Amino acid sequence: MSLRFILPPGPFPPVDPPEPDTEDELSDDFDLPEPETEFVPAGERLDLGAVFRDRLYTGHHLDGPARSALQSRLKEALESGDMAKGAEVLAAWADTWSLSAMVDDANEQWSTDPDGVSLSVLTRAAEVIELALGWKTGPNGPWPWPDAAALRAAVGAIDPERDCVLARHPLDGAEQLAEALGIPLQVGNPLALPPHVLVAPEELVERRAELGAALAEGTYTAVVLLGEPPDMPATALARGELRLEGDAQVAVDRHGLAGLLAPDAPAWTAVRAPAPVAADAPPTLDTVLDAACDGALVPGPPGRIRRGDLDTVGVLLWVGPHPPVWVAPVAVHVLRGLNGTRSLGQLAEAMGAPPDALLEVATELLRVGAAVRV
Amino acid sequence: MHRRQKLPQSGGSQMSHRCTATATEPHGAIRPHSVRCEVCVSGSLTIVGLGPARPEHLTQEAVQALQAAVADPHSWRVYGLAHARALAEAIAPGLQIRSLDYLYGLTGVDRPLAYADLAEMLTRRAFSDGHHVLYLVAGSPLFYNDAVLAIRRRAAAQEQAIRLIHGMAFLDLVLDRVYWTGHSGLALWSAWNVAFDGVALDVGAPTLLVQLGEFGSSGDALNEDRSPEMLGKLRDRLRRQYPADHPVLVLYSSGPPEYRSEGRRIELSALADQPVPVYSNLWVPSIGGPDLEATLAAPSVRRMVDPLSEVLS
Ligand SMILES: C[S@@+](CC[C@H](N)C(=O)[O-])C[C@H]1O[C@@H](n2cnc3c(N)ncnc32)[C@H](O)[C@@H]1O
Repeated sequence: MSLRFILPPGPFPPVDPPEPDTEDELSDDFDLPEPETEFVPAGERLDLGAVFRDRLYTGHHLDGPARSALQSRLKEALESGDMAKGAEVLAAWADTWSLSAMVDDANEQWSTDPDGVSLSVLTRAAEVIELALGWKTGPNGPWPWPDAAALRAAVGAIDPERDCVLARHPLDGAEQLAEALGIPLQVGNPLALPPHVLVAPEELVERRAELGAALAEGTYTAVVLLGEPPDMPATALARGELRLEGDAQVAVDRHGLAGLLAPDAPAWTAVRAPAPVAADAPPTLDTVLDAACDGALVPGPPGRIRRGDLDTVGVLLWVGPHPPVWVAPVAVHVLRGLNGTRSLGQLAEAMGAPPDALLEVATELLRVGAAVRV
Repeated sequence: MHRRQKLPQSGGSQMSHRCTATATEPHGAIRPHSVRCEVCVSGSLTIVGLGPARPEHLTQEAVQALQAAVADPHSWRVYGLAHARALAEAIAPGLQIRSLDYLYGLTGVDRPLAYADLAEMLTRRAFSDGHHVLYLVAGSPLFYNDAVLAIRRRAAAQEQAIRLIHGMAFLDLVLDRVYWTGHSGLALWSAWNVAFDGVALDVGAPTLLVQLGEFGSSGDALNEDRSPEMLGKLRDRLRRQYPADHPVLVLYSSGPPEYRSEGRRIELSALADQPVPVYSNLWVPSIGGPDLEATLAAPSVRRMVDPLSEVLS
């Protein structure tokens, strides 16, 4: 009976092993030293990281089930008066538009050749997915840990004689998974990661000088804290020094161990840019426009909701790498009226709107790249 | 990775080996200490004053230090705050400068603590870890720079020498708009000391008050909005010694990229009537001193004037 090795869904979406080399590539690599021989246990492998990555970090999931789930969670949060949560969920909901356009490429990039932008996109997707599914964060970084039902469904029938969890890093959640599934744990080859050190949060301040020196020397690229250190000035200063000296420290603090693979990962806010705008003359009542994005009416921009101030606003949402733009509700009404065939004059008439006011809104829509001339 | 020689720390103080290598080669080219010294335990710490505003205020020595660091990035670790970084990047594009700006945004960490921590960290990096550290500062390192002061004291306590590259101080820019005779001296204070610490001025000498309008004793000046709060306090304190119509000069910079020396002359009673820009100073002429010292000087011209073209035009 062949064994089945189950890899946990942590510590981050996996990078796929390279395809076997072709003969040509082998001859190119002729001068390189032989790769170290790895212990690869024989048997079937189920990589839960890859399963959940390819199921959840997709445009299809984000603009379908995840968005609908967030809508329900927004309603729940607002009805229960949890405004902070409501604001967080609304921001996540709005980001499902851009993420739906970016996540498949990011997934592909990360799986084959990890880079900073793909990591930032996947991290934001992880936060959004976690809110949508109501899962908890995993043992490291922002990556959601599937709930028991999702884990069991992904693993299928369990046979404790045949199945075991393969541990590859202390923070990959293998122990947690083995316990949840009731199957044994086996230690596999460690994940290949740049040099880093795991440190108990309460040791951070006393070990600061030693850690700072090791980061500056390049012995480690980051320090991975095994929990949140106590909130005090000495901690903040120590963390500041680690970020100052460790090449991957900022990325690791933000993305967990995944940051080791992409130390230059930009902030999510820097990944998207405003929608492109054509430099044209202002529209007239004869101009025909079409919508370049979606529009929705929501109970307020997140900042206002957080303050408990609920009032309908509009939001312009692009299926593209552009951040949402919060606008007056009338802009959404006008946007929805743009169909690429009727002129702004006809639209004003159909909406019963004063032509000047409509032209003003249309100009704004063009200015933010929400509408295009036909 | 640059390899440093380290001696065992046991057996004798840090001073038991004195490195005789100089940090400056003939022709002024700056080389890291360890390039010459094979047995030196420690690295080195160089404080580089970059001048108060424009890149052309930098001394040749500072320019050489930056160029040496950009040419040999593995030998130097360079640190700096925002303004210093901008100046250094203009002189040495591509220089990797570690940003210390985070020290201003940590909860529970005020400026004195941040500067003390910075001094501890940089001296440790140089003298315990053995790196060659360049710490870039705006202006002169020796005028109102708490971190530099703390570094110098720490280094002295550890019997370690630091290298200091002087920089032009803001004073040169500020004095551009006054006619200071020097006949009755000059007092230099932080406006904060007068407004909040009860420092009384010598009314017989002109005084330059720096950090005007800043709302924290340690230079919290991110915008001008809160300046009237301190200006009101300062006006009231000064009014105890000077008449309401005593002329004062608000001296400030037009900011990047030109950094023109700007000024306005007002009566002391009007001091808090409008906010002052970040990096402002107050010139308080002496009582009974020469009128000249109470006059706003004409701005000096920055461009070089080509006499021939002047004549032709
Ligand atoms: C903390 S002190 C540091 C001075 C610096 N070490 C130097 O020598 O230029 C900062 C104060 O210097 C003055 N200052 C700095 N740069 C200036 C500039 N470009 N123009 C006018 N005043 C300036 C302002 O009073 C400011 O609050």
